[in-house]
Amino acid sequence: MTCLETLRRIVDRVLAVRESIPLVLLIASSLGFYLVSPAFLSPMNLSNMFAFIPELGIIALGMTMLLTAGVFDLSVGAVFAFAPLLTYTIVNQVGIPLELAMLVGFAAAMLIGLINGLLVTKVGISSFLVTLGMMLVVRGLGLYMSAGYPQKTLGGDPIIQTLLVGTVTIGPVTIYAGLLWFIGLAVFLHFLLRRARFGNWVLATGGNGKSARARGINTDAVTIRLFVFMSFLASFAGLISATRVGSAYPIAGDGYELETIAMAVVGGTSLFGGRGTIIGTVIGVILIRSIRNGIILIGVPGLAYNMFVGIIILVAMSVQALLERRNAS
Amino acid sequence: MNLGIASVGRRSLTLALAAGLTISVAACGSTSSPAPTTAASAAAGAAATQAATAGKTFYWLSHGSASDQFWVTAVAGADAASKDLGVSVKESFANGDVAAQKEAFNSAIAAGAAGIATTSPGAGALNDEVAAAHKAGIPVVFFNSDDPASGRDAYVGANLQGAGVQWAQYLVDNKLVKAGDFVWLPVEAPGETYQVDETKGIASVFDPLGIKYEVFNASGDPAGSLSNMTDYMTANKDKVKAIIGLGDMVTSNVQQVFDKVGIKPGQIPVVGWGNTKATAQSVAAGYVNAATWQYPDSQGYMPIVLLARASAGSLIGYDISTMALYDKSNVDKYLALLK
Amino acid sequence: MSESTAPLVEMLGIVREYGKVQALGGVDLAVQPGEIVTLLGDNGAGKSTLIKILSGADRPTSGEIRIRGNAMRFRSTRDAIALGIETIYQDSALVEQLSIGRNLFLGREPSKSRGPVHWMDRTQMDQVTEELLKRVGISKKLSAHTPITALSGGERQAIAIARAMYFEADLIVLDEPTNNLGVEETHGVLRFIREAREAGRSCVFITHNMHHAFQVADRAVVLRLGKKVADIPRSEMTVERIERIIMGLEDGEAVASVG
Repeated sequence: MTCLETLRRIVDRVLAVRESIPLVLLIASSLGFYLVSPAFLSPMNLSNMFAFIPELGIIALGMTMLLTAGVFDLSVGAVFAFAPLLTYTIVNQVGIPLELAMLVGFAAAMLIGLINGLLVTKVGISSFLVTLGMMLVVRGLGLYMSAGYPQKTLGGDPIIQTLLVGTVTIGPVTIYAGLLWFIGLAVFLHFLLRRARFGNWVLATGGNGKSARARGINTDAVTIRLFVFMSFLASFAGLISATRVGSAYPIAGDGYELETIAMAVVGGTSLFGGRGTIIGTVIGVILIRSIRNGIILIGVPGLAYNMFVGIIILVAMSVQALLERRNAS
Repeated sequence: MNLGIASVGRRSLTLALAAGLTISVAACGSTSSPAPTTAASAAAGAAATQAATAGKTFYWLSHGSASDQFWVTAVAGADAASKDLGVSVKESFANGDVAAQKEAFNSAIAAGAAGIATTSPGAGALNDEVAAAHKAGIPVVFFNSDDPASGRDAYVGANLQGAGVQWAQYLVDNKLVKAGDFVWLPVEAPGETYQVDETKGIASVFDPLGIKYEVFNASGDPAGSLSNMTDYMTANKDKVKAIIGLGDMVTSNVQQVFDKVGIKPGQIPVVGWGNTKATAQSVAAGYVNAATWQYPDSQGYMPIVLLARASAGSLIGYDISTMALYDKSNVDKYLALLK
Repeated sequence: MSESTAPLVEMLGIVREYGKVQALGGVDLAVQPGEIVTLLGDNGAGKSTLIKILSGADRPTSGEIRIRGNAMRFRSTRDAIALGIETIYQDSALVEQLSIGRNLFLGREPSKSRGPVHWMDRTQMDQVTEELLKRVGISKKLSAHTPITALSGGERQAIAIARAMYFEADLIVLDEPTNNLGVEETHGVLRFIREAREAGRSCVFITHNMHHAFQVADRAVVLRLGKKVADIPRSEMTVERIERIIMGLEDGEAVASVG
């Protein structure tokens, strides 16, 4: 009896930490996948799995900051495609150096973020509508500009290539530069949110914007800065992806906006603002990526793949929400 | 435009879908004419046509863009036809703008064209224009992307179902697969016409032989498709006896996937679309056994020949299939085109 | 009024119109240093609008605000805070998701870093928070890291007032500070207001509860339909009379003291 009580108290203590829920889900699902298909935990599969993490992961980090401030951005997938497309179109057709073209790409992305931020704060339209519209605008612009054709991204400056998509091989595990960027950004944003003045303002903006303004915080400026930063991250992730794949496609990143929101929310960030956890998002990114990987490994029918991914994400979200409610009471 | 398969090197399937240029070909244009007319025989006919058509003006309209390598090659083919036949060919690109293409078509009718060659920017998009041209006695040939329901006189381009038959037959004829084997069919956009038609062709060969196959949703996202295919092969490299890439992007991913999973070139036979440089290089390196090329220059040249025949009074109720498999033995010729 | 005796805050002829609706029709309000003024009036009398303008959250259509005799224009609450005017709203302006410490320092987090990122000085935040909690007498089970959701309404008001005290506001503006509070908690809040006066601060507070007003206020200002109808010093205040003025049964102007 007392033993059970103690055990229960330990479980309660663990579940009270937001990030523990996705972590438990990650361990449980990994174990399940491993039992069905031992290849799941093979070094080769792990390194393949992590190779694709930076693309979505870097965007998910930015999305976490936005969600914490009570807004979100549906235009990230379009910016993810547009910025590298613009960069490499300039390189390939105008012939200016990649370094300079990258700056143009980043600047264009940040301008998109600025417009998003201004429309949300100054015109007062919900971020859902603003960024839905911006998604169509940017996606359409990319397709129009490129007439639907991808741009080659190979043969660029070798230093930039290495910085974006270089690899380090340790034994059987290959680590990609993108993964290091993701880890670096995650560490920085974690501390920014938890330990910096700006992080406190982000939390307050999303938690109770009225109170934050009453305390003299310029919540509009906080929101605008986050939108600009989000677009920058999306363009950076897009550049890494396009360089890795070898072409900048105008249709790249389709659906990334919802997938990254799912990653943040599964990790414990609130859809309604005021609560955000970078550690949770990192776990959420790995969780959803491993679900996609594991589903294929255990061999579900090819065309039913998305169905299974959807079911598992729903289950993960439900467990998260139920435990959340249990903790609150 | 065959939903984007039609590109040399750089065009992905789903781009075109996203651009809203999806063509749902009601039925594949040339299912009733499986034997492709060879370029040589058509060219021979061209010489005879020359006298009757000299000085006439033909219009050649593409939904594509003049900056794309595929269309650069195609338009050069149309120019060659103009020179060879001694006719005038007016070319225009709509850059994906359906309205612009319709306008160009109508101007061609108004200008009293001797014949109009066009791509289909979408199912039914040119129905009225084709009817108007026929009313004015102008023959119409579709190329690159078909729309048989429009009532066009003929089609020049790849035949999707035929491509499926060709791939499956290649694997069977070369004894690369046998009854009970499993063939993996990755695709960018499952459910799209090109996947359905190609799978239909594959089924017509594999089903009677008891060869199993499965379509796999690799997704149209470039990074995502690479990762999904890698995941799949990690788990199933022993199960998969052959791979047919139903689109250009998935076929061009094969080499990277094999390298990541540790499959040696040739260990698992691969066939599929080969309009990209990456795929042609994979053929040269032995990762892909054979790939399908769809002759962009002929898609420029042949429609003009057919139209010239028609305007000279011949009947042209047949389609020309511009596709063939290439392999390691002749890949150099294709690589040279993909510079 | 001469320069030497300039009030801490002086609002002159404040008019606020929302389209055709006039919320305030030329209100004057002055607060002396160390004075507690209660703002009374029926619902819709314009009390909240006046408070919002005083706190910088809203801007008057016309009229002037003088701080220590100097005319000022508030563009935001930030401007008002910088001039020593702290406002505590009805539901206490705390962010529920944040801890007590993070709320106390919200908008003015201490930082020692000079780089582009201002890292918070968490040691200082925790220390000051624990001290303040002790001072307001609610330190028993609370730490700087306790989230606001774990606090009662009175505790929340106490935190909000403690914040105004710590940042040495000259004028603390309270919007219905005793609303929805229990008896104990109400006493706590009224005690803080008195302590603020003892520390030389001024205070303006809105309330519907006449008894609370009488316990601490030095002066009562009554608004009615957007106009000031009475300005009565402590010595002349009686509950009956003020109630009659609020309801419009007695003309307050006749007995209004000089502003």
